[in-house]
Order: sequence, then structure tokens, then C-alpha cells
Amino acid sequence: MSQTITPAISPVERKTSQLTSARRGRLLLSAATVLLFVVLILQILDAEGIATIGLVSWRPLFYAYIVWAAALCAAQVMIRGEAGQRAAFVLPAVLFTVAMVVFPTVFGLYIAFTDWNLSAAAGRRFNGLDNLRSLFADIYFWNALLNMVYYVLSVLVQYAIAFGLALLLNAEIKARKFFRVAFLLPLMLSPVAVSWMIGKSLMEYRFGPAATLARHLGWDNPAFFSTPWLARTSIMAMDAWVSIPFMMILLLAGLQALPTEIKEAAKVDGASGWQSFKEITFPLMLPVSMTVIILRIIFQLKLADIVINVTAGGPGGATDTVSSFIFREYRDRSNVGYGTMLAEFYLVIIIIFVALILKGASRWMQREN
Amino acid sequence: MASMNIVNVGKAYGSLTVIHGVSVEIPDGEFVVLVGPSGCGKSTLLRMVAGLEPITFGDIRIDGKVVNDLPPKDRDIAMVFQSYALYPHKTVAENMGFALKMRGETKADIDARVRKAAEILDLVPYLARYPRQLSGGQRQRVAMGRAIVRDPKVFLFDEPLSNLDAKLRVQMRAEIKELQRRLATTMIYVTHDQVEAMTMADRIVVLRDGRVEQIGSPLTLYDKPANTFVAGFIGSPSMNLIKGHIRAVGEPFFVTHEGIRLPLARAPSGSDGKPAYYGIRPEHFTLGGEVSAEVTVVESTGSETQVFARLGQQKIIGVFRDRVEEPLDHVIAMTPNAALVHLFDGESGLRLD
Repeated sequence: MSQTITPAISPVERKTSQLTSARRGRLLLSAATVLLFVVLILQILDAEGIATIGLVSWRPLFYAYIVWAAALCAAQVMIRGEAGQRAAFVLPAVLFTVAMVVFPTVFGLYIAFTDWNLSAAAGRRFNGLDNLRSLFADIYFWNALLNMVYYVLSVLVQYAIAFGLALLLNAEIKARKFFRVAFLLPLMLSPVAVSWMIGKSLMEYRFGPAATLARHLGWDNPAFFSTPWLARTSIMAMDAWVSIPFMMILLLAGLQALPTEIKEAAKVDGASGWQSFKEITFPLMLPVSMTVIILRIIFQLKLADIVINVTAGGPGGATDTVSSFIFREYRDRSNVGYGTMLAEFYLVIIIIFVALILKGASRWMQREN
Repeated sequence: MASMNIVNVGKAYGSLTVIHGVSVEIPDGEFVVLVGPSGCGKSTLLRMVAGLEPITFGDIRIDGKVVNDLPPKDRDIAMVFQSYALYPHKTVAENMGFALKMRGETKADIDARVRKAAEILDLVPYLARYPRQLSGGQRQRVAMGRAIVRDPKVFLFDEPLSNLDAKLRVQMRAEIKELQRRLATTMIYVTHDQVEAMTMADRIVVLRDGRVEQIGSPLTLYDKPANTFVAGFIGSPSMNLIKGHIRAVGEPFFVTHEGIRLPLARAPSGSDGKPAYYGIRPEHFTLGGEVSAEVTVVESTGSETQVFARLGQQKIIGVFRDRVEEPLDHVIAMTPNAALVHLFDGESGLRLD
């Protein structure tokens, strides 16, 4: 672009000016990189007490990173011209992600390989693979992971209910707007509030209204959190109550985007309500459905708040989720090193699991279409 | 194959009546075109026939049986939608066989009938494809195939050609007409395009604002339009409607508002001095004669020339086989053929005969 606008510069001159600009860019980048590493080494030396420079905090390294990031952007433009300008639009986001996501994750990995209990006077100590070994031997962790399988499977039930409600709200029913808002209300509540309002008050087994009602209906001992499966089901029900509206609203948006003429064509073609759903509506909704289910599974894998507040994982770990287990490891035992190992390990499992789901979903959708 | 009776059918949304008692009788095997400007209620009427829209009053009968409250699937009709409404996740064969599958027919039977319909429509090579892999014209044909596979009593078409380009539209027009002749099934076809209506219909129903303006064969509508609306709507370019008065004393003639005298072959009795419209089709002018007009635009298509001119203050159009190379703003002599003049009442717009 700039070459066509500035014909005053001869090709030879342009080439040389470009060359010098590129050289300057490389020089700038090298200088900034050297600065970054020098500050890093100085900080490490200072922190280890090898050299006393008198640095109070790690802030100089942070500033050096910002300077290096700015130099990297500028150097891209200088070295690569227009391509560099394009890169400069993406680079800030990349550098920010590196600083805020990648670095903490990697640093967390370091913590995961240390023995670090907040209540211990000794502080942090590298302990190799000890945390990983105890993780593999930890039956509570594997128990929580097994519970996650049940919780994830419950998403399918939630999906079926949400789809039904979305169909209902999409139909020509009376007071449709009222029901739309009413069905959305649970989504607007904080799960913590839900745990106390419902799990701890409404379902309290001595005086809770739900328990009282159940007794009136002839259930002798309506302790909703007493046996493993009952407790798990109660937690799932509360979780469903909060998250079904979210799925429902996405599915409703999908339903409303379906072309009416196709549904009318099915009607003229003689499809009954059920056939029209099975043959037309459901297949056309598959992309939305997959998105909804995958999103919800990702959320479900992080389920913790309701469990922590209502059952704290009990009875006997029956309702424990991995997140609530990690929470207890941090909060009750102050075991930061092991807790971080659990979190990092769980992150790896989630990444693999979700990647597999996405892969499977895209392959399945391709076959369907 | 069936006859259809639409008896005084109307549609109201609350207090707003959009169709005011339309009656059309369609004998078995006839091709009827509903035509009118957009918003005239033609699509609503078709959807009421299909059962997609409830009827407010009146009766719709298929083969003498009232179907007002029957759902679409029990009316034994097939419909081709403007957007084709093909099922995007089904192949061409599945699209065409869907209605048969819903009816619970055997797979072998469905395959055989789909194949037969595909042969009629030249769709055999595309049976395994999905709608998105087809061109507009092929999709249109699949939509028709979906209708003919079922062998319904009545075919309904809702502006099926309006998404096609001009050339394909002309071609599909002929194909649909030929298909109708071959299947000899009753068809109701909705369009806003009067050329489509003229070329395809056995009979045309002209609608305006939810009322029937005229029902008749294409040439009846062309030769004897019942009112100024039909006169202006049917034919392209439209008929010239010149305001003025009839003079019936002695040799009849017509005087425009500006006092220009136009020839008349005859005048209805007792119409002397009556305000009226002088209707003359553009192709019924001849060059020369005693009437002259001021040329504003000349458009030549090669085979014919359209002359836009001013007769007094009123705009008129003439179409001529001859080349006209009259400079603009010049006066050209163009005289109406007195035998082919239509007269309409100046107030009601109804035909005077």
C-alpha cells in the first residue's frame, strides 16, 4: 500500500529504507529480550540470596515483560511491514493470555510438585512426584471422579427436560411471556442462595416444608441427604433446577430460528406432531443441542458450590465432586501443594475429555449431514 | 384428482378482515391461478385451502366434502412453498419420499414412486444429494417432486418461481404447465406476476384487498376486463386509462379532460356526457391518424418499440411493431383502434358495455 502511495522514493531507496527499518526492529527486539533476561536473572539471584541487589518485589520483572511485549509488537511492524501490522492486532491478546493464563498454569504446575501446607512453619518444599503418587492412591479423589460421571450423565436428563420446556414455550400457549420469565428465575439465583434456601431450609429433614409435605404424603423418614443415592439425586435435582433454564433458553432460541415453512411443509406432508419432532425439529436442532450439552458438561465438571454448602461431599463422599474435594483440600487442610496437584491433574482430564467430546461431536454431525 | 369449492370464505384477524368472502369453483383437473398485488390475500387464501391457516367463515370443500376443520395431512393436498421448504438434513430421495414414509408405506414402494417422480423431473442423478448441493432450479424441481410423489387430490403452489432468475422462470413455467397437463390434477397456483398467470392458467382469479375482482380465462380477462383494476393489472405494459367524457349524440366519440377527441366505435345507450375511462391497450394504437401526442421516452427492444407520450396532461404508452425514431418532445400521430376500446365508468370503474 505505502509503496504505491509514495512514488517519490525510488525502488533502490525503498529497499534500503526497508532493510534499515528491519535491522532496527531486530536490534530493538534483541535489546528488549536481553533486558528481560537480565532482569529475570537478577530477580532470581536476589530472591535466592546469592546477590543482594535490594529488590523489594518481583515488580521489575513485570515491567520488563511489558517493555518486552511492547518492543515485540513494534519490532513486528518494523521487520515485517504490513504483515507485522496485522500481527500487532493479535499480539496484545496473545501476550495477555500468556501472562494471565499460560504463566499461572505453568507456575501452578511448579506448586503442584511441592509440599506446601499453609499451616506448616517450614513453608514450600519441592517434593518431586510425591503429590502425584498420593493422588493415584487417594480413594477420595477417585470416588469424586466417579461421582463426576454420574453428574455429567445427569446433564442428559436435564437436556431432555430443558428441550421439553423449550418446546412448550415455543408453542402458542397462553401467558407465554410470563412463563418465559418465570422459567428463567432459577438461573438468576446464586447457587449458594439456592443451596441454603432449598438444600438447607426447604429440604431440612425435621422442620423443612418439603420434608413436612413428604411426611404428609406418607414418607416416614424424608431425609433427603441420608443415603448415597438419595443425596446424589437431591443434589442433581437442585443443580438441574438452576441450570435447566440456561439450557432451555438456548434451545428456545434455536427453535425460534427454525424456518416455519419447513415445519408447515412437514404438516402438509402428513407428519403428526411426534413425527414432525422426530424427523424435522430434532435433527435440525442437533447443532444447537450439541452446543448446549457440551457447554453444560463443561460447567458441570466444575460443580462445587451446591455440594459444598449442602452436604460437604457426604454422606461418605457420595455427593462429592472433584471441585468440592479440591476445595476441602485447600480450605480444611490448607494443603496447597497437593490441592494444586489435584487441580492441575483434573484440568488435564477435563481438557482430554472435552477435546474427545468435541471431536466425537463434530464427526457425528458430519455423518448426520 | 378432485374438484374444489371455495364458498364465501373469509379471514379476519380480530376486527381486521383481510379476506371478504371469496367464492371460487374449481372443476376437477383445472389449473387456477390466484393473482393480485402483494397484500391482496392470495397467499392467505391458499394457506386456508392447505389448512395452515384457520378459516373465519365460509366453507372449503374438496370433492364435495367440507374440510374446514381437517388438519393439512387429512386434506390430501400437496404444497410447493416459495422458499421450497426442503428438509436440509434429508437427501433428495428422502425429501421426496417423506410424505409416503409418514403414510407408512413400504420402503420398496416409496423407492419405486420416488424414482418415477425423479424420472419425470430429471432428478435421478441427484437423488442421493442434499438440498444445499443443488442449484435453485433443481431445488425447485425437488419441491415439485415432493408434491407429485404423493399423487394428491389438489396441488397448491405458493409463488414457486419467484426465487428463480428470469430465464429459469420462463423455463420452469413451461415445465409446470406441461406437468399439469400430464398429471391432469387440480392445481391452485398463487403469483403476483400477471405474465405467469396469463401463460399458465386455465382460469385466473384476480384478487384485490381480499375481494375477487374477476374470474375468467386469461383471454377473457384480457379482452373483457370487468373493471379498471383488472384492466390495469392484466397485460404488460398496462392498458392506458384516459379520463374524460363520452359523447353519444350522433357519431359517438370520447373527449378527454383536456378536450382531445378520441374515436369510439359505439357508445352504450344513455351514456352521453357520462364521465368515463377510455381504455386502450398500448398495442392497439396505430401510427398516424388524427390523434397526436407528445413523445417523452422511446424504448426499443428490437422486435417492438414502446413510445411513452403525453396526451394533453395524461401519460400514455403505445407499442408498435415498426421502428419509431421520433425525437423527444416532438409530436407523434398515434391513433387508437376504435373497435378495441374499453369503456369504464368514471366513478365505479366498472366496465360499460
